[in-house]
Amino acid sequence: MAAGSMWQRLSGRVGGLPRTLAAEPLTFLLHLSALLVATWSVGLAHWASTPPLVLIMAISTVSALLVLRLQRPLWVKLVLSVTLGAIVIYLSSVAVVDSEGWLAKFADFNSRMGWWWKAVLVTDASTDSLPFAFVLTAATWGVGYATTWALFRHHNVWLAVVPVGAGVLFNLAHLPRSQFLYFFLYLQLALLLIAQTTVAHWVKGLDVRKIEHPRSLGYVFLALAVALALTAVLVAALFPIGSKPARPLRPVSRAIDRYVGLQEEFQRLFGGVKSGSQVPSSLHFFGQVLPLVRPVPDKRTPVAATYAPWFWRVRVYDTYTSKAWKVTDTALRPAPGAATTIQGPDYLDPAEEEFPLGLPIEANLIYDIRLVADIPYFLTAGDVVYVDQPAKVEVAKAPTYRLDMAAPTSGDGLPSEVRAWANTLPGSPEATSLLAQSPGALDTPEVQVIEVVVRDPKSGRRKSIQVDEGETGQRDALQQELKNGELVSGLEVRLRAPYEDFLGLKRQSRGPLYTAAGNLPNASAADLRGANGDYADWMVDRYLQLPETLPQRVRDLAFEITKEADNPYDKAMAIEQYLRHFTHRRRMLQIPFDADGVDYFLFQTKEGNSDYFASAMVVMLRSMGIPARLVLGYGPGAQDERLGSYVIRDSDSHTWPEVYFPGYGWIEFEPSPIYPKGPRSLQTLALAVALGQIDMQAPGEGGSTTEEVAKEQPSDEGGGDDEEELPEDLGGRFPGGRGPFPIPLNYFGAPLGAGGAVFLLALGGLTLAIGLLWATRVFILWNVNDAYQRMGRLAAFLGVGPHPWQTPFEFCRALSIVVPEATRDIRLIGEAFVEGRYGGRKLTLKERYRLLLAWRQLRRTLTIAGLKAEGFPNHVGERA
Amino acid sequence: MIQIEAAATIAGALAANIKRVIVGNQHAVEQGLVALIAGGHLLIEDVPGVGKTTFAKSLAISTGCIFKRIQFVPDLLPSDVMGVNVFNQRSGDFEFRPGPIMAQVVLADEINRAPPKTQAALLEAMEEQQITVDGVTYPLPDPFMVIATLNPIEYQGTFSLPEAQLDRFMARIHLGYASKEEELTIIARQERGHPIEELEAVASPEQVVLLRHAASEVQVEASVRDYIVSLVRTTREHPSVAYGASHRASLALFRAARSLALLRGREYVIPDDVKEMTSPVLAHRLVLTVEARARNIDGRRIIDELLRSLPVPGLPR
Repeated sequence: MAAGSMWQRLSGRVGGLPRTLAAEPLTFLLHLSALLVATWSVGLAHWASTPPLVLIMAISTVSALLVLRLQRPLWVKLVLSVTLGAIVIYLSSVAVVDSEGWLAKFADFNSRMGWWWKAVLVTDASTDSLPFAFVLTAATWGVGYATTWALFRHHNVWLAVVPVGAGVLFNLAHLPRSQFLYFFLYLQLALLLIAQTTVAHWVKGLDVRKIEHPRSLGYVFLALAVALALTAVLVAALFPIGSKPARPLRPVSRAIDRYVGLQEEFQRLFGGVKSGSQVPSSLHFFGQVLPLVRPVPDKRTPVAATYAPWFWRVRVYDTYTSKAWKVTDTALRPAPGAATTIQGPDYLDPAEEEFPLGLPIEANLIYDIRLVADIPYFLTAGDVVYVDQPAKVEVAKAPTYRLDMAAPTSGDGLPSEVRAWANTLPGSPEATSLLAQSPGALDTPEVQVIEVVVRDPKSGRRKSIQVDEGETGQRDALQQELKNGELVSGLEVRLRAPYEDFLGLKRQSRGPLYTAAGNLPNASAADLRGANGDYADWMVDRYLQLPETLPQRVRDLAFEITKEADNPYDKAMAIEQYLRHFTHRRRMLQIPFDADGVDYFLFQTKEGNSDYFASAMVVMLRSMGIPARLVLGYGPGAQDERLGSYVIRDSDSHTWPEVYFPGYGWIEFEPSPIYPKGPRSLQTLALAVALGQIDMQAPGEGGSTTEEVAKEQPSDEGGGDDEEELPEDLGGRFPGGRGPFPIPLNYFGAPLGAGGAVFLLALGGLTLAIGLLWATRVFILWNVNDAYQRMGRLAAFLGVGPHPWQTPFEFCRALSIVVPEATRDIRLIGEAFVEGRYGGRKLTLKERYRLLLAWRQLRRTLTIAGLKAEGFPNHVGERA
Repeated sequence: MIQIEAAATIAGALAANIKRVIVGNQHAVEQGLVALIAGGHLLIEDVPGVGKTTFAKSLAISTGCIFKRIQFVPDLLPSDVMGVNVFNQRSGDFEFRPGPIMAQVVLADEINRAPPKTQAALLEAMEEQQITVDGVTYPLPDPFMVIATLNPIEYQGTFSLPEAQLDRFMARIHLGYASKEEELTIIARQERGHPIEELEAVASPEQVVLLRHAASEVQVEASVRDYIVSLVRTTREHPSVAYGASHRASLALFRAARSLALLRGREYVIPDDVKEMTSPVLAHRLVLTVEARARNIDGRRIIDELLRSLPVPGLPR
């Protein structure tokens, strides 16, 4: 088969070996040992409770070799391999399930895998560690099998070594430092394997060509390889490496870092898997899914520094699955920057009420923050009113509705506003002419047209055009189409929310220092108690969502707790009070795969980290019909005495609930006992007033534009100190910062730091020196004696060397008899040597060059002759 | 050196000239020439009729030297060789009439048939390059070379040359039988007359002297000297050898190697020159043990053995 032979040729080129070799027992031994070491190190990380991986690896390797050695066609071998693998993996995974009896084990295994698969599809999180165990077992078997196959069938030692090495390296991040030995041990074995296969190949080649060599040659080289490998490994282990990637290598490390995005998915799917000794930082978890089972950040890594001791919101989550929080259906809008004047939310008419603290209802908090960690979101307090760095606001997308122009009111589930509006729609031709003049002609304060479907009356072809704000190009296109005679046949409309829910502020640049202003609702307890009103439909849909699997007793408990209260505020306070009696513990809580997180927290453990407190409160409020949502962010941080600023650290990572009060917006509460209880906004405002970080102007009364807001910042005097104190950059870009699985390369510091660069330089210099040395010995002739000497040596190696009693000419003559095609070169070298040696004549440059050429030619000729010949005549000293 | 180049040319011409006459063993011819250039005496040991006399004659003619032939017979007297004082009646004085030895190239045919006294006289002359007759010393001409021939077959009626005396001869060569083609060539060449009759001188005796000077300019590198001396010394240690070569032999080999290098056109001696001259120079000087003689081992065999076992010093390994 052409393809097959091409593959053979390819694999022969890259580490390929002749067939006869690879069955060497030593090769297999090294290969097996290397794999076992690798597997042992993986086992040490205690990823999940798996069947004994080392055993699985051993079985897979040995069986792979045995299957290979079968004298059967390839397809038989493949089928056999796959079947064997499937059986072993399945059986051993099932064996791990802790149920009584094999039948129960099978049943449980299948059902759990089914649940897990569903979680995969539905973008849920899973806390079941069984699937991971299964995957790990399968991977172990697969790797053992594949590498053995690669080594003994395709004779490619690199395929057998490099992927496993990469895996070991990856796994290394999850081992305590003392276990790094395993990586070096693996490295040593892998190097030896490579050396062994190469040497065996070479020795076999010599045998095939019947070149005499000492029997111990192979072992000598192997011993050398051991020494070399040890040296390499020792150097790798001991050489100091810098902590940041060297500038030229940053693109490389950034590219590598991108794969960390996969870690989000990993965490989602395998949330139940412990990750060994490494406790990652909070910086990772700003993805779309926030699993309840996640490692709890407790490091002192600085995240940001600021003068404001607020609670910092980073991201909001609105959907609860029983194991995780999600946020979906969001859109990005340009953030209010310097060019925009913003109207804050229009809660109540300012003139009507008296406000606490003598502040107007819309009080803008102003703060500036230096972000130290590379997270994709800004830390914000309140609804963002202004930010001076490029950013995008993440908002909840209001629902959209499709209307057909032929029958606009026929859709179900249309909200009343939309229905009313649809009733007022003109017919298609008139709508067309209206829209042709101005694309926003059909918009009202409640309903906005965001997409128009046009139809060509002649061909019947339809086309959709977005006319959202910001799509000015599309709006022109729409007008063009309509003028060309196309008719409007359908509309997609959106209900304008009173305002769009602010969910997070996404960074668009890497500048660490930013100034922002946020809007906190200024409401007292009495105000909040009195807040009532209807919740809009879309809000109900979004913020009252609960999974079907929520146990009834959670709802019952919520009812119990709040039965004394008669308004949402008091209900919220009651729940908060109830929860504050629970114990807060900063550790990862393992939820059984079939349990609901909040339920487990409320009834089983009664302790957990702030995720659980917040989740419990939100869930219970929702079950009572009060819109609530989860916010992920940071607590205030501690004030650094020397700097005077507040340093927010990884360990300040925190979650809390927000409850919606009509007219006031989202109010923060604090069910976790580690922080003061809520509601929070008033306390924040009071503090802000005390610190002078508040904008006292009410809007409408010559309300400040954002520019003016920006100008009234407290001066940034202390900022310089922050710079020296806190590290600028903590590493490459991740979707959420440095995640739970810091890349081993980064753990070691960097792929290369300054120390690594020096090491490379030294290595390069050494290689160059050795290369030069070798080249000079092989390629350059220093003097004539060299050529003659080498000729003699080469001839000796081939069995036709000079006898001690032979004069140079006698030897040359004798050699010429044996290798007549080289007579000219031999004579040249001989004559040159004799002249120099006995006549004391020095060669000219030209003669030296000619000598060099003659030597090279001779070397080639002699080698070829030597390799071709069965053996040279024994007596080469006879006189011609 | 210009001198050596010129000398090499002359030597080459000489060799070529002689080879026009002598067909067969070219090496021997060169070795004989080497003896001339080295200033030594030559011993040709051969069966009769292979061209010994012809060789000597051509050598003499080529070099333009005076040639005299002495046929040694058992009743040859020293005075027959050296010359006599004859009373001249007219002047009333004794006149010295020089013998055949007073020549530049002297062929001493069948030297082993002469009585020891005559042998001694000849050898003395060879050694000192002068003769003394009746108390008067007459120097022999320069260059002076004795080419002695030895017939190995006849032992009856011969006075075998004492081994010690053999030492006086720098080299011993063997012309030997020619090959078939060579013999045919001999016949062809002598179809009408002898080539030697047409031979002319290509050098003069002065040039021979020049050659000898030139030979003394040839460089001998340390390792080659080492080789020469080692060779000679090793002959003394061979089990079949009762008495090996002497210091005279080292010198002879030294000079011979240089002369051969000159003949080959080189200013320096290479070990091959030494090897080539070892057998002619050393083989006849070895005094063998009784057992060796009994087993018919001769000096040449021993030298060959030696040459193939003694390592050539100074070579890179």
